[in-house]
Amino acid sequence: MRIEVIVLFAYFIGMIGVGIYWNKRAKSSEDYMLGGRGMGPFITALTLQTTAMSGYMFMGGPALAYSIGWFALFYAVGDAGGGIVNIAVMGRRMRRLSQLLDCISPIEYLEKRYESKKIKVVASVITIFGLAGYILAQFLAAGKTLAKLFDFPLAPALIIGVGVILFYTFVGGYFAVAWTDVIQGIIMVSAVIGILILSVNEIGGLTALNTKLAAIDPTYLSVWGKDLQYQGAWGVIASAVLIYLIGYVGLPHVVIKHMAMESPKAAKTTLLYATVWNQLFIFSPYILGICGIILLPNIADKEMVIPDLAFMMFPGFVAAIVLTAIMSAIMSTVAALLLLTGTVWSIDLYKRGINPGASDKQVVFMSRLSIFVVGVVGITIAILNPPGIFMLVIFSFGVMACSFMAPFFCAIWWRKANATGALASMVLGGGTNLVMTAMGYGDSAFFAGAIVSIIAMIVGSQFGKKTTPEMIALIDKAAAKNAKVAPKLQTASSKHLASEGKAIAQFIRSRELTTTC
Amino acid sequence: MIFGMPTVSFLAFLSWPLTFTVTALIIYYFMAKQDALTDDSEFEGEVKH
Repeated sequence: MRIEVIVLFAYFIGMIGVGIYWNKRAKSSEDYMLGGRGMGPFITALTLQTTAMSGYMFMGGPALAYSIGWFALFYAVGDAGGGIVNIAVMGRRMRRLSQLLDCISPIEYLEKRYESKKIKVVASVITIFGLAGYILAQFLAAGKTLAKLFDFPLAPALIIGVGVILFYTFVGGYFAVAWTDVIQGIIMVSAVIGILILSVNEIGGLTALNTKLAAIDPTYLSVWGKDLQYQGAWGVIASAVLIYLIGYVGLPHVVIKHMAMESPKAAKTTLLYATVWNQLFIFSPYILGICGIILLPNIADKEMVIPDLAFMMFPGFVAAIVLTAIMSAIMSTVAALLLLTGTVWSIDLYKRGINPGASDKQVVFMSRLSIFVVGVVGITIAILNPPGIFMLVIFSFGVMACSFMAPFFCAIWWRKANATGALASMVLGGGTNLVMTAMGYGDSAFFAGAIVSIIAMIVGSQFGKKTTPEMIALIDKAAAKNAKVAPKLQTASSKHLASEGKAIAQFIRSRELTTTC
Repeated sequence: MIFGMPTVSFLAFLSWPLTFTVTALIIYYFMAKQDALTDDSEFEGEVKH
């Protein structure tokens, strides 16, 4: 058996081991879906960032840099700064408000913050369809990567690769997903930094790299890309930077990580760890793509720059670990998506819809069941790969980001933001992105969707039911202001006494009784 | 020219790691100051097992 296959299977066994290890720790639904809100800064930072990074960073990104030179790094800038924006803007306040509202799922969080069942329905529909597309895309990527890197046939590759992710997510829940993310994050950054140092050294240093590039074509070094193909295209640059700089704020499977932090105070250290990891990891694959122009001038498949450089620079065993890093990037994203799917089905649809009296065990069972069903259905669709299915998946990121960015952001930063504004923002923001992508304006779709989403939130919030004083008090408390919170809602913040839903119901009933009297 | 590339290109592509790291340190400083003034005890360690 080839060394890379042996290393890959050893890695898979390790991931399964992590799932089994954390199986006993997940006692309640909050443990299973949010890691008991006990994640420290290092784990939060790595799980946030590895979830956000997919296999594109190892294959698509370097291929782009190989084609257009240094200009490709504009696509890395937004990614590299996105962690700072996401954690600094959302981290502490979302962590506090989600606990005050006693939320496990990001959809439940939006529903309770905006005090509207309609929010839950619309947000659930968008999330389920968005996640379905996203998961399918990642399944296909996992299968194709295994097939490409390890010469496996597609169907067995999909079943083995996705099966491992399914197993550790199903068995270990959030704990397993977070800790596998940490291991995967360390493998990913070590792999790219190792190849980068050796590749740049082989070329003779950064100055030599640029001198050799200029000798081939000076426009490789231009801020407008090779052959100056993006000259004056400020819109393309702005979109490339903005989509990831602010887009992560709108992704439910990413913002749920804030809710799982051990404390709001962990956010600042999380921000530092995430920033260091991002700066080490995100630019490196693109620079490796540029190194490939010099070191691999006749490469047949540009997406294979990093694997080919790995085998050029390292002995077989270490190169095999680099290939494993590529799988790690895909697996960390898939696991987070699967876990969120389970959370949405079990909390938002089952417990808060079909069976409000469900026990914790039943909720965890439903979550596991939905993860298993989605996994099996996803693998089947990916193997069948019906025509047009991949077209659906390219909409997922943009639609979810444009739908939820403004509602998640305004939930904690704008007290006047209400259900009407949030609904308008989700429908019009996501809709704009969907329509523009379908019409072939993919480059500007995110920018347009984000603007429409923000305007819809501002205009919509001028109409409909205003945010209640009780909710304003909770938002102020989440903002660490000295807010006076209504006693009934204060009670809700204690998990040992009553759920927030019951407390709000009691509060409303007591108010109705007072009015009647 | 910096490292063999035009200064504009260097600033556009390779200044970001330093920029983001310094930004993160500044934000960390302000967040730490805010945290010192905030009592977050009710959000800490509540559901650990």
